[in-house]
Amino acid sequence: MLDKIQKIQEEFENSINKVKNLQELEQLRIKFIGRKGLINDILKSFKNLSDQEKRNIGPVINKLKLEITERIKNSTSLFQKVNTKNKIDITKPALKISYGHQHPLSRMETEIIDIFHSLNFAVVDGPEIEDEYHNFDALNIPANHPARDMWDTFWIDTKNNKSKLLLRTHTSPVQIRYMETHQPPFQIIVPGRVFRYEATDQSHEINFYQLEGLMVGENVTMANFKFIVESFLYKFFGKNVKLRFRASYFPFVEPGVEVDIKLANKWLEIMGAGMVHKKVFDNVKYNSNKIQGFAFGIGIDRLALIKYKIPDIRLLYEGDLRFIHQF
Amino acid sequence: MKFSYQLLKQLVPNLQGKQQVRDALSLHFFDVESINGNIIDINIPANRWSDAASHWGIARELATILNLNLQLPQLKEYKTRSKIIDVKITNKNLCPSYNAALLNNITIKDSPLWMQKILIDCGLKPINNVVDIMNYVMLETGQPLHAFDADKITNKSIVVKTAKNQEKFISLDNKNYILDNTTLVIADDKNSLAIAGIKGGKKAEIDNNTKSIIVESANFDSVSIYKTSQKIKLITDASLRFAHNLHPILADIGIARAIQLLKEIIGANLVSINKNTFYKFSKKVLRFNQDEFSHLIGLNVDIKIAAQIFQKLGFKILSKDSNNLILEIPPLRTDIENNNDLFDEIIRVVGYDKLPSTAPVITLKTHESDDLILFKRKVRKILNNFGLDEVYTYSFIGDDDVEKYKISTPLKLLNYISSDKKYLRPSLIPNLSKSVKQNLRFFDRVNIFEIGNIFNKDYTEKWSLGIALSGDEKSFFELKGILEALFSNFGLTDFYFAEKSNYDLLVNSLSIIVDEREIGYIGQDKVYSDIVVGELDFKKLLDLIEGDLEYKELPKYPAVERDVSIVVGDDVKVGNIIDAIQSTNIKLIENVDLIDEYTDKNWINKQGLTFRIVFRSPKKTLTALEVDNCMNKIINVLQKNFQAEIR
Repeated sequence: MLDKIQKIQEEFENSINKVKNLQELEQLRIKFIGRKGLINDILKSFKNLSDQEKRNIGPVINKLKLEITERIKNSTSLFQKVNTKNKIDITKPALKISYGHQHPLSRMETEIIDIFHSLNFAVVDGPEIEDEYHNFDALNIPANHPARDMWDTFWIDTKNNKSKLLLRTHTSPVQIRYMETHQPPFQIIVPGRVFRYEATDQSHEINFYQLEGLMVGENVTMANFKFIVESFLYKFFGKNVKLRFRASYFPFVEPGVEVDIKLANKWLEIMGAGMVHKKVFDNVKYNSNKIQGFAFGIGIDRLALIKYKIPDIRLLYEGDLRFIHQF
Repeated sequence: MKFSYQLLKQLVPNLQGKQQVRDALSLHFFDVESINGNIIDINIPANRWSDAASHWGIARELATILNLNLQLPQLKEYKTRSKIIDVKITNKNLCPSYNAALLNNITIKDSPLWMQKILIDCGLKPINNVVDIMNYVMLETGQPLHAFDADKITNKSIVVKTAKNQEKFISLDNKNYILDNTTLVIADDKNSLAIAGIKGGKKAEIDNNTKSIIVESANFDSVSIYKTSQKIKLITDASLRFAHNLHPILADIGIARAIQLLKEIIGANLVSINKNTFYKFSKKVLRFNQDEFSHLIGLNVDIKIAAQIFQKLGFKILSKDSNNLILEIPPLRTDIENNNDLFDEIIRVVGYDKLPSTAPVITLKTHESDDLILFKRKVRKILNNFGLDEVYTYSFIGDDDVEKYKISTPLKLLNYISSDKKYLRPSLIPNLSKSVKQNLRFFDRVNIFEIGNIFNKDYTEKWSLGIALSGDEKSFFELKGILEALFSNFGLTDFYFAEKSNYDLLVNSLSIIVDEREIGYIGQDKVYSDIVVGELDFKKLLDLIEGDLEYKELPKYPAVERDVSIVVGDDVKVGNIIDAIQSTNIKLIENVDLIDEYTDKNWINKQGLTFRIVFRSPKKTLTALEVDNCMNKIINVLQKNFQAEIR
């Protein structure tokens, strides 16, 4: 019996040093001091011993059992300490996942187009180089009249070959082009880059974006325009925005209005609009006695400056990624 | 245009202050730009100068909008009498009306202080009583006036004609001008006395000894005045007003008021008056119809209220019924041409706050929206997902760019704002590369794109997608990868890059071929060789993307991969090798890739390349023998065509 106990002790010494992890340690524990383990095995045959032998061997078995238990306990806590060392520190900062940024004007365009899509407006595009007729004359803005001074124009050097060409000063010419090739009723918006010959500063650039709107039919009224513009502005700025119309003059509408919104207690001018002038309809060969409609123009850059609180319009065209990355 | 609150209050006595004036005008057509003490700066819209570029006109507007009393001076009507001054007008089209009044008993001294104050408030300098009255009447009525010293006019005879070509003229400001035969002048038998409608001359200038004057109150063709003013680069209060198309009847109002004030204030004596009018005055009668108003505006208005408004505005109601008003339009309202123009008068006075908001009733249609605009969105998203930032750059390039890139004949602006924005961009690349360069100051890597319009030599334009990446050799292949991924994303399968070197802006370039069509190019920027750029025709790309993606049958049979390592001359292009390998067996070779490149320091002019070839048959599992045969063919081709050494 004593040498059996001796053998168990030796086996344990061998095994405990080879244990690599908690799992193996547990298996070792079960093998030696588990319910069906080696120690209990010996204890089973203990009852067959004489009293004298019991008194000699008992303490030895107990001592071994205690030792094994103690050693296993120590190894357990060692393993657990190591495990804690290998656990991941989840408070460390995140890996940077890089993604490309959209230009704020693209966001604006998308947002605005979506709102008008939901009002059944189609989106139309047109050329940036225009002729004098489409940019001015067709819109009732005749040459040699101070009304034209409202738009400072970039003229293109056509080397005296063709009719005068310019960079469009507003997106309104696309309305004319659309009406020349389509019949009412319809409602369209025209986003696009426009150009003005003026000194640049915080709120003026030589190229910027406008959005033109046009709704034409037999029964389209100014009250309809109010509805459309309110729908757009409430969606865009939120239901708390206040707006007002001011009577105003543009050669291609009659009556004409300017639309202001109130933000942070200040009135801001954001849109020019009105009922399309009879002369404009005549120019596109619509029956101006039956057809009526409204048109409006809004500066997309201006909306971006307001909505995103950007202080200087020139930031939009400088291509500085420190700016673009904010969006 | 500056207005005196003091004078306005005289005309509309019950005004309650400048704020009230500002609120009333701003909402109802006349934007108030600023208020400075007694000075109200009002923006007069281009179509209202005939009636409202004057205190009387603005006063009428205020009286109507605020429903207050208007007190305008009563004017006497003058007809030609005692024709002492001879007036001849050679071009009646350019001068539809010319009134000349001769007054004596003039003593030149300062005008009364109250008049000086109003002139100063309105931005004019007081000179003497006669000149001040001329200016004061202009402020009141909107009609520009001019006074000549009658004794300095030869034979008291005035001619309105065009100047001689290259004629020299000295203004009363002592400035020199060169006129031509399109310039209208006021002249006597010997000299030109004034540039008509623009500026008076030294010859018949009023001075301290003037005892008798000729007052001119006339009307000139607006286009002629506008053009002359632009040509000689001289804009005056008078020229500005005439350029805005004043009604000739204003000249009668002006002369009547001038005579009245000259009598009252100076004690002048009217000796004779010569009136000449060549325009046909006809009454303008229009109809305001309640239903038509409601049909356009979407608001119902009481016909009685409409009548009140028209009356206050100076329209005469010739007849009315429950639905209609027949109106005689005040001649000065040159902006009112047809029945529709009457609606603005009502809605702007009533106020837009009364306009309801009514949803339009429409026939729904699916929009044939511009595909290009929606396609832009998709492309943006995909490129953002690949880590590229979107930028917007100017539509212009400058002398610098044209020189550096050697761009031939780009489109030029006639009135460019600066030499760096002189030309219309023929490509997105110059500005994109510049942008990359500038951003490299703050970022280690810069990957950007732009979707914008570029301009062709024939004045047409097209949408372009431009991409620019900073970096090293790897960037070139990254760009290729980005484009391939972009095309794949849209379901395109037939695309490749071909060697092509005649692109203006690049060195080391390839053309992008999709569905056998060249749609763009990539390469190194000619000016900044460490920047890799690409540009493609956006619309061409959109056109090639047909409909929807299609399912392709999943491969039934397994693929077999074989590698081959070769050593070839370093002048052999990898692209050519891959092409050659693929063409040995188009049916069975699914893919050829370059998986390794190496050099040995003992090699001169040689490079080592390893290719991985993937074989797959759609009909069966390939046997080792079959693949071996293919490989042998490939090895043959490599040895024959490229003198390759197989390792």
